[in-house]
Amino acid sequence: MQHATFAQTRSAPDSSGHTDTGGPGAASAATNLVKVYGSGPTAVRAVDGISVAFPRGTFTAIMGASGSGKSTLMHCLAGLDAPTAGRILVGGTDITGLSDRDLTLLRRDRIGFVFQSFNLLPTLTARQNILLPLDLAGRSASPETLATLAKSLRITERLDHRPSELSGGEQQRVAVARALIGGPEVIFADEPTGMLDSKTGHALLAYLRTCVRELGQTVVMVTHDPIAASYADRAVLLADGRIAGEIAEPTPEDLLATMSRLQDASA
Amino acid sequence: MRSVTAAWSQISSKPSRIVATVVAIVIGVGFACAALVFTSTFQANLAARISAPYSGTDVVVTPQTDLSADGLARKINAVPGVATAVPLYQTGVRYTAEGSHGYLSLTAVPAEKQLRWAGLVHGSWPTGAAQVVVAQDAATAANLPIGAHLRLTDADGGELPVRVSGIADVSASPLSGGQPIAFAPAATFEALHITWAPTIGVLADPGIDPDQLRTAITRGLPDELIARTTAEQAQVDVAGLTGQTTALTTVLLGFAGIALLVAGIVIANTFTILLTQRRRQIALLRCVGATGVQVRREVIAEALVLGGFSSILGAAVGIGVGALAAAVTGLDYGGLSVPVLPLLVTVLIGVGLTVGAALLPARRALRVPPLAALRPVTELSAPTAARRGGRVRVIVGVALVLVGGLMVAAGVLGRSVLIAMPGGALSAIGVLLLTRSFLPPLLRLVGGIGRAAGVPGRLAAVNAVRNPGRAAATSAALVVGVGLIVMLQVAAASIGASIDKATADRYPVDVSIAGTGSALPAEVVSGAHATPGISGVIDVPGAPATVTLADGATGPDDHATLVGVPANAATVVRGGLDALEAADPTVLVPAWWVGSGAVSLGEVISITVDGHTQRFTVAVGRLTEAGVAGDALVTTAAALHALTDHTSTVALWASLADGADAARVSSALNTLVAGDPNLYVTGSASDRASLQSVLNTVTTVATGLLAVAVVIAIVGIGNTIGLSVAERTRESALLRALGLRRGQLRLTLALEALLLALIGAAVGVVLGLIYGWAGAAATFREIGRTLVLTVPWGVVALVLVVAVAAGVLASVLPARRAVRAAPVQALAQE
Repeated sequence: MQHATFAQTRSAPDSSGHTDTGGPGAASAATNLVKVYGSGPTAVRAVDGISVAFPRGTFTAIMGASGSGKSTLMHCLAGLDAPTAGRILVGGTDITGLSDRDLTLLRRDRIGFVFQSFNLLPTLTARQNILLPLDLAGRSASPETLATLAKSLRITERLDHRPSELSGGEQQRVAVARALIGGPEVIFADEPTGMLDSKTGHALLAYLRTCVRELGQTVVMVTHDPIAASYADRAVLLADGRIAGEIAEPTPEDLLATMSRLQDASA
Repeated sequence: MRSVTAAWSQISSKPSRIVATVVAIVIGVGFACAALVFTSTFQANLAARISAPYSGTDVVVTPQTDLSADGLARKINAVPGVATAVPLYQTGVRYTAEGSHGYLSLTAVPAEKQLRWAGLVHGSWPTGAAQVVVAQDAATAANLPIGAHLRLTDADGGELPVRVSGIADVSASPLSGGQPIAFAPAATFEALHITWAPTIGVLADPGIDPDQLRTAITRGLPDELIARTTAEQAQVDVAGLTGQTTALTTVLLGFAGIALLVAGIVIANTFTILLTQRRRQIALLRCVGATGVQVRREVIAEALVLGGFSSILGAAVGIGVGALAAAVTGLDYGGLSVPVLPLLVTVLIGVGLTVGAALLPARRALRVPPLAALRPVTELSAPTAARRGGRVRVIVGVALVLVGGLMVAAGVLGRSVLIAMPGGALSAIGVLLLTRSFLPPLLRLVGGIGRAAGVPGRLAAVNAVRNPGRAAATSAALVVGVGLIVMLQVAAASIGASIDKATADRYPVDVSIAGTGSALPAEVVSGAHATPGISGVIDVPGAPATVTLADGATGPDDHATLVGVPANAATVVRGGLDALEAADPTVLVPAWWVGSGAVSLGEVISITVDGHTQRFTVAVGRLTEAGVAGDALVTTAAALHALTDHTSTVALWASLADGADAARVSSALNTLVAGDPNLYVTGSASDRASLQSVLNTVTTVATGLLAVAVVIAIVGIGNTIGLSVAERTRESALLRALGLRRGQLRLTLALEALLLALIGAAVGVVLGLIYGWAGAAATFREIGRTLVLTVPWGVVALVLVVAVAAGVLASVLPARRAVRAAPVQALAQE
């Protein structure tokens, strides 16, 4: 049995070399991505031609008002939804047009997820939830890996409890543990602190940032909260399905100002 | 192994959700296992009883020769190794005694105590040819206590007087064809000139192996007998009776199959609901990387665990029930017999059924997109069957109904059950497939009426059909159960009514007592008049007569009787008197007179009574065909009295009073004539009584067995409601928060259950009527009589009411759960 570790699995570099189209340094990238829902006059262009790359070892926040297409963008990047046009790459591999089974295996082995709520299977214990992707792949984790991970997330005593017996913060931490245990290329987080109180939420975001800084993980987080986004290295702002701006090393004030400017512009 | 642990975690986290499924499987599998254990014990009982008479022997010899049993026994005695060979006489012997007459199964009681298989309860074993021992039940039923005298009729017609010297216990009685058993020594058989015995029991010398002895005997007398060891003989005898037990097993398993079918519907429905409720979980699994195959494997694993556990539990319950049934019916003489292999097969079938029923819902579960994990759960977005799948189902269903319906019609018109039955089964499958199409519209239609019940009514009407597939499946189970019961009842009622009509047509008289033409004893006549339940008793006069044919020869019957039908007989006799109203004096002769060519219709014969002669024209009629006047010649009373005044009552005719119980009247009259072997009771009443009681017993038992399927269907309704309630906690909480009272919420659920049960039962009744008529028509066409189609409205109404009430009752428990949730708590975010 192969033992998974924290270290990222590196895949073969892409030959194109462009940073914004997913060069060898990008953990995840999209090129001219378009996603349309429905057809004819009622068609909705949720994503309207986005090209973006997320280099390895970075923490990126995707921000936007509701309806800006940020969730749709993340779904496509994570292989949860098929784009109408454009290319998506994960770790340099073009995943556009992969079969459902291949996408599933991709998600299992190379992507980690943290959702806003309902992350865990209610019938499994925390430990079983964390090891779920590995179980599905038929791999096992070394006990030290799990122990270290649990210790760093302060959930060691809660490992044998079911989700219904855990607090919201503990549930999210278990979800983060699950996302990390397989050593993924990239972790996609969809409003991970949306259901948490501010103290717990900030602790979680600080942890994610530590993973990025010290362990070289790549995190892409969708959020509408400027304070949460300020934990990221870079904020990508969306409006009406397109990129409306980028801020490096964002502060909450910057983000608030930019967001309100965008809203005025589109009003 | 992940699949099994995942499956177990699913089951153990919310066991209440699968309780109904477990119950359904336990009932279905339990029924089948009970049937198997019961029939197996029944067969063991038969084997033990059949071999009881020769259970003390070492070798059993079946004679194949004309030699007397005694002679053959002596030859066998000469074979080395044989200690003694004893003829085991057993034959039916006619007897008469004070107060009873009939036939006894006279059985040999050997001198060797070892070969006696019955135990003595009172008195002593016979010491000579003039003594017999009577079985306990015969002693009471035939009034033969110790000391009673009876006369046995021997092979040549002579009579042997014997006395009852003891009473024996024959709870281990071999099958004696219903005749009471009596024991007598070899001397009695000799006195009765009975030389044939069905078997000869052989005892071996000490130390001799029965197998060796059997071989030695066979070698010594190869052509005159068949020798078998006791064990072998028992096997051979039982094999001869296996045909009957096989039929019993087949019928019982048929009913079990129906119960399992209904259970299958319930299981499939449960899995569909459960998997729908787990949409988010399944989506999450797919997000995290479970392939479709892995998800399906987990569902199948859950079905396996569930099916395995429930089937084994069902088998245990079934064994208990089967043993109890055998004990209660007194059929466990041979001890409890548990057929291991068939039971194992049944358990495997139960598991297979569960897995099979979960396959289709499992496949549908694969179509859950991973994104569904990110959306809030609503069972409104439950996946409905793919367009293409639905169309295939409808096409196949319609095709099956058409083909099956044509076969049934062909079977009914062409007088063939062989075509009608498979046709019926095919069309039934087609109808089941189509329930998904026609039940939801029906539910909506009838639900519309429910709006009159205010808010709960409107809610119930909408809720019942919000998931049409689920509602259809739930009601379909009840359709099957109720439909089968109604079909059975309608078919039985129609067949019963047709038999009534046929017997009424055949016998012109409800009840008649007749003999060989001599005068009826006075007490019989007065007793008949006094019997309750009959009205209008007519004494039929008759006198001895001699017949001279047209060509001068004497008539076919030496001791003929001429009987005169009184003028007022029309009150009791249904037709058949027209021939006697001809201008010329007419006489009805027994059918065999004309059939054998002795006389021909229309011929003029002379009949002499008491010295006076009259010429009569020959005719035949129902009165003589049905034997209600014995074998007598029938004419009008006026014509008879013209010949002589010295007549006596030779027959009694009567009508059954309105509302009288044919069986009771029949048996009362039979008791009346029991003392005289020459008298007998006929008429449509006695015929109808025996047929009707058999029909009733069969119908009642079958209905009871089918009720098991209905119980499973009701469990299914409760299950659906329960699971729907679990889905709708937030909705119910919202309604309660907005002001719906607890009682109103309970009413909503009760109305929902009522709707499902009502439609299911009503459709079942309609289908049951159609199939019942078709079944009766096809069966009756085979027999060739005319069919009277009846609907037992009372029973149908009862079935409908019970099914609906049970369905509503099934909603009580889920309703309690629904109202328990506090409004605020259930509204909180998950």
